[in-house]
Amino acid sequence: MQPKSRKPLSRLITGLTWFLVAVHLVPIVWMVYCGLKDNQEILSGKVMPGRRQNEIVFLREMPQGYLAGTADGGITLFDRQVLKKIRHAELGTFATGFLLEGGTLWAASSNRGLQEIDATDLSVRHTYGVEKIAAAYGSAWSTLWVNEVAGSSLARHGDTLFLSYQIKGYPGVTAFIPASGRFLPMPGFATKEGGVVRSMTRPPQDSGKQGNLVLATEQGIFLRALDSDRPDKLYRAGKLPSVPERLCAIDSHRLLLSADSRAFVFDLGGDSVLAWLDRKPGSGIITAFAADRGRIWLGDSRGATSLADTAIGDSNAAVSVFEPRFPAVAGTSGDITSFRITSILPLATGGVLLGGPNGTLSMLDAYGKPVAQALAPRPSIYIHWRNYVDLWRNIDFGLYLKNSFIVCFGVMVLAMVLASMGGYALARYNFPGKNLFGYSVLATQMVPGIMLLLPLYLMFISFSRATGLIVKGTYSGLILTYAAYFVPFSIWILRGFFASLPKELEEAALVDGCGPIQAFFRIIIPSALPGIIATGVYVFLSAWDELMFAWVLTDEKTYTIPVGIRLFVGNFQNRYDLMMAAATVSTIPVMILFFLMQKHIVSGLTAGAVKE
Amino acid sequence: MFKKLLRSISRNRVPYFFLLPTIIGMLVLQAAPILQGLYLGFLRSRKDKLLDYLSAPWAGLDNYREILFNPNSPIRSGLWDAVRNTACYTVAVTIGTLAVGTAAALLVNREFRFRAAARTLMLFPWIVPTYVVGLLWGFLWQREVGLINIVLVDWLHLFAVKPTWLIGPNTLWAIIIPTIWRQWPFSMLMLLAGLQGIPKDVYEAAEIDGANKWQAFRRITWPLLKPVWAILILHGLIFNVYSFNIVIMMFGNGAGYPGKHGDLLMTDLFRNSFQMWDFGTGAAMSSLLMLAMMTLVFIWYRIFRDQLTGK
Repeated sequence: MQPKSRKPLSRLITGLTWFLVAVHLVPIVWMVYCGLKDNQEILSGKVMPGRRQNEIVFLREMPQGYLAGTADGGITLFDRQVLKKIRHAELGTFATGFLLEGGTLWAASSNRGLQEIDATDLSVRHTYGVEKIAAAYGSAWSTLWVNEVAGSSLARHGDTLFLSYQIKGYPGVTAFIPASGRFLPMPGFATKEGGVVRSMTRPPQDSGKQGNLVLATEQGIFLRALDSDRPDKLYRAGKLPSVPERLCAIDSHRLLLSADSRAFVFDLGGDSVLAWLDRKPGSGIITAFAADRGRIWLGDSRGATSLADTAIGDSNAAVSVFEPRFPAVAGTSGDITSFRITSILPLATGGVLLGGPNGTLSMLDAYGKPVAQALAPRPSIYIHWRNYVDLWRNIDFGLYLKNSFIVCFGVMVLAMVLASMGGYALARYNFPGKNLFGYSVLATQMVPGIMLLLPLYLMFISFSRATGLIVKGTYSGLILTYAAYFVPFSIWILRGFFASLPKELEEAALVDGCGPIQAFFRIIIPSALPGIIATGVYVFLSAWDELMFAWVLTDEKTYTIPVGIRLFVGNFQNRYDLMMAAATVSTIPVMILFFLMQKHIVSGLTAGAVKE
Repeated sequence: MFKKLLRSISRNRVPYFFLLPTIIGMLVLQAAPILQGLYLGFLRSRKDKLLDYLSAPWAGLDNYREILFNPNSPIRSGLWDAVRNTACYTVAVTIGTLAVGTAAALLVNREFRFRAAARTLMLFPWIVPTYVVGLLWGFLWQREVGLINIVLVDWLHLFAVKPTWLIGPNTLWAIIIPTIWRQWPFSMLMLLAGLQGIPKDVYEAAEIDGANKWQAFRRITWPLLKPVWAILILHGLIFNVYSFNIVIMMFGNGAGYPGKHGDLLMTDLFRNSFQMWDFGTGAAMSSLLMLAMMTLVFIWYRIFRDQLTGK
């Protein structure tokens, strides 16, 4: 032996082992990591963690300064001259929509519902939770379709606030009365007819269409009369040049709308498209616009352009271009989207304040010269929990989890009771038919599951037809089926455990006057408990992993996790973030269980391998 | 005769009492369905006749003729694709699992720091539920957003264009590799237990006798691991021929067709039965599958009989 010369080789092999471990774990790490990622990042192939695209979606002027709101619920008050940060607050919300009304800032979000915020000191006065909004629609729609609240917007009319959202795939608009704190569903909006509400506004009071709520939906422009009994009016998307995405009111009768890279002005008085706004070819998608102080502003990935609203329709009108200078943000790639304009606030000076992604702000004067720039602060540690919230709100994941636990726990208990009795009988007694039983137990392992499933499905249905007792779709039906599947296997494993117990145990009990059944429950079961629990955990893990039987034998009340995941994956083909979050959630319970019981399970499973 | 039986039962009443619930359960939920399944294979139990249960019209050997000999039958061509894929899949997965598992077991059987941690970390994928494995690898294999193509093409530049994994002949690899990934830790666990069961002094004696490492492996380790291999091969055979979750979750997100090169027996059978609602041919195919499995297990037993009985 020459230990010195062998050492490098030994080290190399150890290194190789750890390399194998590392490669082996990559998929699991990736699963957990992607469950905490934004789907947009996954779809754009972004692998490394970076700063989230977190755009400024809201800019307003206040007596104290400029108020900026970001999509993830950061509110910052900036000073007017150099954009110095005065005050900041974090709401911790997703896909936030804002509305400033008097001294109150309203924030609507998919996770916190509607929040009332004091605009001066930025403190939250009230939170009207998502549950409250959902409750307005009764129990049938008890969960919000939060993914799509991104298009949520707020508008105010008199003492009523309007809030658009989606509930279980159905778009809705709800009216909120701050005085009473109540949400009132608006009939006619909670249907698929209207389509997803992308943007909402209310033209100024003095218009002929007074009291209209105007919504840009997938179907077209929707006019809802608020004051009178006038019927709703829908300008269908087919009659419009394109499906509108954003809209804002220019004045009492003109609306500014945009879709992709085109913008147009719609006349509410004449019910027709008034004019197209000419843009240079290849100007890109319109990402923000504003109409204020007699000018119209369009923002895209290159900057903001502005023209006087009197020049609408005049192709020779003078257009001024404002190119922002956003502060550099560490960790963002310099791709074109990081220069995108996400919100525009025209200033009294003739200049403009532009908001961009990553919380960047740039102020320009009337000649387009950058005056100041700023960065909205954000929480230092950010974990994208949103997928996990969505999992619970969008999909009945809580129900699937509950069902899985009930079924697996039921199977575990039932199988362990039956299998320890059977295993004990096989280990300790000799009786006619013992070999036959032993072999048939082994033979069941070779039967394809589908061979059992076809007749079981028919049996369950026919049984229910004959007796009126429902079996298919109940917990007990599934538990019994699983038990029949797992008991033979468990008997085989437990037989070994019982055989390894010393015979003196029962003999002592029998001497003390116990019957054999009493001895089994009092003496044998406690002694074999580690083995029984380990086998039970193994059964639990196997039942947790079963898809085929559960697919056929459950209904929507009793779907277990695999069935639930299969269904939702079918509905959300491209939501990799949600899929990975669901995958993580369904892996964690079994992982915990396994590591609690690791020693017993490993020794139980490998016992056979060592002995033979 | 009857009295004798009664006496035998009463003498063995304790084990019979213990086994009674299991026997009843197995008769109702295993034996009865299997017999009915065999019978269903001779019935024309389709969509409209499904609820007639066992009184569906008698079809004789029609179902078997359809799946075995009718050259125009879509069921038959689908089945043969599935048989071919399943055979390749089972062989590849079993060999791969054993190879990686043995190598890993030998690697972990040495003394090094944090050995227990390494072993536990290796077991991780084995605890991931198979439906999650299908879902996860279905994502990893994606052409544009999947990690595998990102690593192979964007980082290592091994291919000029990103390969498509989930369509075409590559699909077979796309289901084989995740299955090996999930299963080799189990093989490693069993083989490691086998290795640790070999006493150290056997190797020391061999070293004194002048045997080198390879000879020690060939003469001592190999024969002692054979029974474990036998068990693992049987386990792999049953587990992989009846593999369902990984494939069904990876393609078409659980509802679609995995394609000509990715369809396995169980997914084919399941689709035929619970999406086309043709139970007659489904039962006939399962009966054939059960027969084939029993043959395979019998062959397995003949091959490994010596190892298992400890000769």
